[in-house]
Formats: sequence, structure tokens, C-alpha cells
Amino acid sequence: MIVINRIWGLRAQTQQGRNSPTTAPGRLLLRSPKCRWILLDGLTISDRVASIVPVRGYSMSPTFNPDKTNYLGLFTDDHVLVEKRCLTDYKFSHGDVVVFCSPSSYKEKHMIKRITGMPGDWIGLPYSYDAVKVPEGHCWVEGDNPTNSLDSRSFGPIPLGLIRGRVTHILWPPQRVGKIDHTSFPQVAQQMEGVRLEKTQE
Amino acid sequence: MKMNDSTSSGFLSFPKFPQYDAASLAVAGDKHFQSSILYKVQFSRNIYLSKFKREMSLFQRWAYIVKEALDKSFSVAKFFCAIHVTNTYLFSTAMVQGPSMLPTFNLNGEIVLLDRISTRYGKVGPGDVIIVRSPETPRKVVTKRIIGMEGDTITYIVDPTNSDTTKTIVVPKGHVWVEGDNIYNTYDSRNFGPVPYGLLQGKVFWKIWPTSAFGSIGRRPQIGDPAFKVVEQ
Repeated sequence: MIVINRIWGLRAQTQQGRNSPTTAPGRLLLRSPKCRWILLDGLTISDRVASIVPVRGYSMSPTFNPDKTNYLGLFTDDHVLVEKRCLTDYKFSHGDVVVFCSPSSYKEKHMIKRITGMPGDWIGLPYSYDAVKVPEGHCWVEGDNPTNSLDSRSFGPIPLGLIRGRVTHILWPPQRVGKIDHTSFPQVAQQMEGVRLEKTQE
Repeated sequence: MKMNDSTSSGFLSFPKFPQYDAASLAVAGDKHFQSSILYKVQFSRNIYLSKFKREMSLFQRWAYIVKEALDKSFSVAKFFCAIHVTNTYLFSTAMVQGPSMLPTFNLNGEIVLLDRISTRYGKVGPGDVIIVRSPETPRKVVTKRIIGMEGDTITYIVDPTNSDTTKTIVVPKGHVWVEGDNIYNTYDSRNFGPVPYGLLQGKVFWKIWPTSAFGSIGRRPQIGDPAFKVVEQ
């Protein structure tokens, strides 16, 4: 507790008042207490509750970034709301759009794909007649645009621990603000319908 | 509730006391009255209770209470935010239990300090003890030692209790090979394969409990640790 107070300059601030210079090492991190609290609260909220992530590339094309002709990427790219409450129990289902850290390089932290296979499912590989079983604690992720997507078809199933959140809403551009769920992409919805039918037949 | 002096400025200030209350009578110097219980009751009531009640309107009173409560809860929330950020971005503590790291950590459990910075910026290498989210049960974290980084060639004994057959693999890009120090009783990369780097949670660098084991955990593996054979190669 004392250590945390000293790092972030908490105790010094409460003792000496808001505007006096603090002697804590936290002063080195951010000089103004207001800035410091905005940083701490923002980081906590974005880790625990929800955050906003821009979508890059066209791998999820009908769902995010549908039109290819844009040059001002920062303004015309989709921005999505990612909720983090699902990380407490790691419960996901077919059709969820998730943000995960790339399994082949840890620096690429925001890959957005759709879960199409959960542990125990058999996935048919393209261009071959093989099927892969998704191992325990892993999932199979695919982009909605199969021609232009780096996903589980190239790097295999990913551990659920790599998932950093679930996409729930589109926030930008304003004309496409709305909710995202497994019915938002018709092809996946059809697959889901098929899975449900198979289960009921069993 | 803490009340400031009446002279302070601001939106919740109130005027000075009227001259006729008990405090001013006491200044006049009636010693018998000062020592009486009646004086004490009156004094405290006048100063602390009726000041609050008489000089402020109902709305002001409520505003004052709400402001106090908000301030208190915000400071608590800020403290929890500071704890969270320190734990996820700088360092945190963890409890290590179980037989899989036996020469390094004992069976009964030890409390260790985790360094979150070096895993975030890729500053870990073979021989480091790390905490990694289990690839098979994502709710659990396990403690293992890094044997090889991406591109390394690893030779490992498939089943050390029964046979000496070895296998050689190359760790794929963006993955690490982790093993427990106690190779006879551990569930590690020999069972679930190389682990993506994104699953690493932190580097263990200091034991803090029990006090007899207090000290740092060096990066260099000791003789007998399985990590040692990689250094020899």
C-alpha cells in the first residue's frame, strides 16, 4: 500500500494539497496530478470494462470496413467498442467477434476475427479433405472475408488466453453505429442455424 | 464529518457565528459556567450541530453531504485504479504452488514478485522463470522456465520416467518453449507444445515468502536445472 502510494504520489498529494509539488517518484511519471489520475482511471477502465479499438485492413470486410476505396484511414476506418468483462471467465460462443493478440508476434495486439470453432469441434481445411479437431482451451478464428484474411487457416487454432476482449458495437463511422453479434453476418448466421439443427437432430 | 472554519471562501461557506452563542459567553469568563456540563453540551451543540443546521439551507446541507461522500468514494476508487495499474503494468505478487518447479520453488507455496515490464517489451530469454497463462485452461496461470525462444532448436526427453527417447523441434515464430524444473512431474511444453508469447504474464524475479528463501531468482540456471543443457549447447 505504501509502495503504491509512493509510486503514484497519492499520499504526498493528500498531505500537502493539490497544487504543491510532490516529492514522490510518481512526480517523474506525470507532473500534473490531474493528468496522472486521467491516465490511471483510463487504463483501468480500458483493461477492466471496455475500450475502443480501430479496425485495420479488410479481413472482416462485410462487417467492418466494407468499402475499399479510402485513403484517410484514421477517419474512415471503423472503430469498435470492445468489452472486457468476458475475460473474467473466458466464456465465448460461436459467432463472437473477438480481439486477440497475434500468436506469431506479440507486438500485434489487436487482431479482430470471428470465432467459428470451439473446443471439440471438427474444422474442415480449405483445399483439402482433412479435418482438424480444435484442442481443449483453444478456438478457431476466421475473418468474414476469406480471400483476404490471415487467420486460423494459416496459423491454426489459438489459445483462448490470447483473447483480449469481445467486440460488441460499432462506434464509428456514424452511419453504421450499431450492435454486433453472431447474426450480423448472414453467412455465419446460416452456419449457426445449421449447427443448431444438427444439435436438435442429435 | 469535518467542518472547516467559517471564514473559508467557496460555494459551501457560511457566515460567522452570531455573537450571542455559548462560545462568546465563555470568553467573557464565567468559570463556573465553563466547567458545568450544561456549558459543554451547549458549546458542542452550538458549534458543531446548529452551525450546520442553522446556517445552511436543506439543499446546502445535502449538497455538502453528497460532496463529502463523492470525495471519499472517488479517493477509494483512485486507490484501486492505482493498484490495478501497478499490478498490470509494473509489478505484482503471485503465489507459486505445486511440484513442477521443485528445486526452485518448494511444494508448500511461495510468494514471489512478478515483473510485468520485461515481458511486455520482449526482454525475456532462456533461463528466466515466467508466469504464463495455461493454453489449455485459460483461467489458470502456471509457473515455468523458458527453455527456448523462437527459432531455437530444442531437444527434449519425451517421457523421462519411462524411456530416454528424445525429440528435436524448432520453436515456431512468436512462440516460446517452457518447461518445469522438475521434469518428472510437470505439465509443460512437452505436453501442450510451444506457447505463444502473448500468453506470458510476467517474469518472476524475487522471492518474498517464506523469509528463509527471501532473495532474487537469477537468470542463470543452476547445474541440474533442465535449462542448463541449452546453455551448454
